[in-house]
Amino acid sequence: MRRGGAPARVAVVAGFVLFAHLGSGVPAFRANVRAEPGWERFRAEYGISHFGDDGHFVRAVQNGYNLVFFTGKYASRFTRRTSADAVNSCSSCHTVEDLAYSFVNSDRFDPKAGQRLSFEDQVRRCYAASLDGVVPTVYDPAVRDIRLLARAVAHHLQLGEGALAGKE
Amino acid sequence: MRLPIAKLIHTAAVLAALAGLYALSVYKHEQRDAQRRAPVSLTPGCADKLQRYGLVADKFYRSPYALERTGAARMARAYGPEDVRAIQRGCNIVDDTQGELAKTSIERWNASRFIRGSHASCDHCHQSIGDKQDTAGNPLKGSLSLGASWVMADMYDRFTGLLLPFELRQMQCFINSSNGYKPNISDDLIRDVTAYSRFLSAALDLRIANHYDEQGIDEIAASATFKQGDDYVRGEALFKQKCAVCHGPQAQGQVVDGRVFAPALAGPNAWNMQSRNYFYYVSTILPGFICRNMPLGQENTLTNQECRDIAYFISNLPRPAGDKQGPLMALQQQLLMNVIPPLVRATEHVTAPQTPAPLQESEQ
Repeated sequence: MRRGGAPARVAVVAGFVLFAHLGSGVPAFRANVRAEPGWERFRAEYGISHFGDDGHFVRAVQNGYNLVFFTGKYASRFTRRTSADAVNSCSSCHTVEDLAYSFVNSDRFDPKAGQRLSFEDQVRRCYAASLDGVVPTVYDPAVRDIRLLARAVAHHLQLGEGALAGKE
Repeated sequence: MRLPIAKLIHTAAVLAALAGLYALSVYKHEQRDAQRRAPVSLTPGCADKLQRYGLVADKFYRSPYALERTGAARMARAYGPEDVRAIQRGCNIVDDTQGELAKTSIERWNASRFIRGSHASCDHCHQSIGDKQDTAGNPLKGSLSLGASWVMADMYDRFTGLLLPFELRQMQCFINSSNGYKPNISDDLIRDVTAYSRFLSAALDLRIANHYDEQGIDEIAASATFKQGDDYVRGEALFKQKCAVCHGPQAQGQVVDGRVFAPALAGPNAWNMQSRNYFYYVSTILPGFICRNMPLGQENTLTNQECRDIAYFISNLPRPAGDKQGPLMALQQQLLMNVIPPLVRATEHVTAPQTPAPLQESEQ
């Protein structure tokens, strides 16, 4: 029984790999992000489709949209909030324009934190505190794509570094 | 019962080593914190530039540059004293990456530890401290402006296949153009250069994700020449005529009184084979840089074909292998860097290049 164990294990792993790649129907690389409710309206409102011809950027912005409005679904690793909580997504506290202004005003000294905070630092703090979760790395798409969403909205609003709401 | 002396000594030694490492990290942490709070001694170039752009810790920031050129300037969020110091340090790093003008290397966050050679400095490529302008104050096309680069960051980068953040782009500069090592994304070095670049974008009143002509390099494709082909011999002759007086006969750069007078374009102090300056990796960037910036004081005097010839010649000189070329190529390049210069010196008198043949027809 034990002599045949190793080949059997290899066969199981190989079978699973073959199934995952060929038989599961789950694509190994998803080129498209799922369009959640409101995405098309957001896209039209902020001119995302006219943001260059760059499909990579638009997909990242779309993922950013999903992260902001459906945080529990798309960043479940980084939040303990559920739909039962009143605050359960980034959009519970911030509009996308808030995020854009926050982006152009980032990299400034925060007296409470006692240090200069980047936009990514602020997003990570939100995951940890407001969303009662876990801090993603600075490279994680859960952080990066929110920055890209903020950048796209800032472009639409034609904001510059340090822009103040109502003073443009 | 005998005490296990050897075991106790071993445990004590491990604990002492750990305590030493902890004490060292606390010391380094405090040293960095003190440096963040210390007043910044600006390089002459930075003092001039930051004063011109009105950098002070104030209630709001209004760009004097925008005010002068358009008669109006938007009101932007103020910079606190900590932010002002970060911008000042960032400017110093771009202007004097190797710390030649600094009293201690910590003033530049020890930037030279991320650079293998002793020549590379940010402003060799990002000239005029990342903000090159003509005499009328207009930003120059394709001049690698750091402010314009910051507002256009995060876009898809065709060379890496990434949506490339500004910080990662800086890391690439350290790895390839400086042939060095990657600083951490949160290193003060990276963050201060970002702070300075952001301030430049505010001073020049640039808007997020708009494309400006001064971003990147005004590249010269082969199609912008009369398609005679890039020629090593023509390039060598032109190099000796136009460039060697500053960069040295074999493009190894010149150091005068301990300061880099003209940086190395080949050899161990130059950019590596993975840099975008390397002709075989991207054939349009170095010619563009040469045409728009060289020779100093005679910019825009070389023809497109001449720039491509010089770039072709320079890129054929031995230089360090990049991080993707592997150990064999690295070994080969090390060998060439040690063998070729003395060989060329020894045989120079019999292989002196001819005067470059004039181009047959004017360029397009």
